[in-house]
Amino acid sequence: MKYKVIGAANVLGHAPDETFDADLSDAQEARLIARGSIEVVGEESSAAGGSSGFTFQTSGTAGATDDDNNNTGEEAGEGTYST
Amino acid sequence: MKFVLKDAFIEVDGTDLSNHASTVTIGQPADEVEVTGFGGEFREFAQGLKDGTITAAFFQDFAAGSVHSVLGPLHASGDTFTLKIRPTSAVVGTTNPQWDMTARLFDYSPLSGGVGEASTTDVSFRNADQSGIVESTS
Repeated sequence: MKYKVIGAANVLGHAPDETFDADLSDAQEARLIARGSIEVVGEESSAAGGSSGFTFQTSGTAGATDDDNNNTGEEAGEGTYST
Repeated sequence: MKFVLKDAFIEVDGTDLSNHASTVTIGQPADEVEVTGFGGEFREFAQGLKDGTITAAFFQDFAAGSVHSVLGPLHASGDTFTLKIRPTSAVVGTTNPQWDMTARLFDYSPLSGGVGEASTTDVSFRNADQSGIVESTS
């Protein structure tokens, strides 16, 4: 989860107005929010992990032909996609 | 080099209360268990169960995210929380070790002082799990 320090004191090494990613326990998150130290500003940033969306991979061998027309990437540059 | 306390770091349940603290003491007493047997002239003692107590004095502050908002609910709920103490606010290192303790707060005085004096609160954090006070240098 992404948090922002909104109180006057540093929280977990982060200064006021700083945002940070942390995996807090439910109890500690509730206490920090209740005392006015932090607020939730979003889900964990993408750099911190997780995957979603579309990937496209290319494979194949130069000069190969797709004899069975199944688009399984024998030909150079031919791609397969997954979501 | 002899060390003078000027910049101790005290984090209570994730909140840095260093600039409101004026004293801190880390105590790790162990029971003295007598194991004296016959045949000798002196008593012998073994180390028994250890205890972990960290005491601190804070200047009271009722602002959001400050002393009272941290200590009051911890005392009221009896929840365990993490204490982090360092000699200075610099990063943890061999010359700046950190002591961590999972703690509970059993007593809390939200208001104390005379007319014209700063209101202070002396707290005693007690060990709350089998890890005790753990020292780290990285």
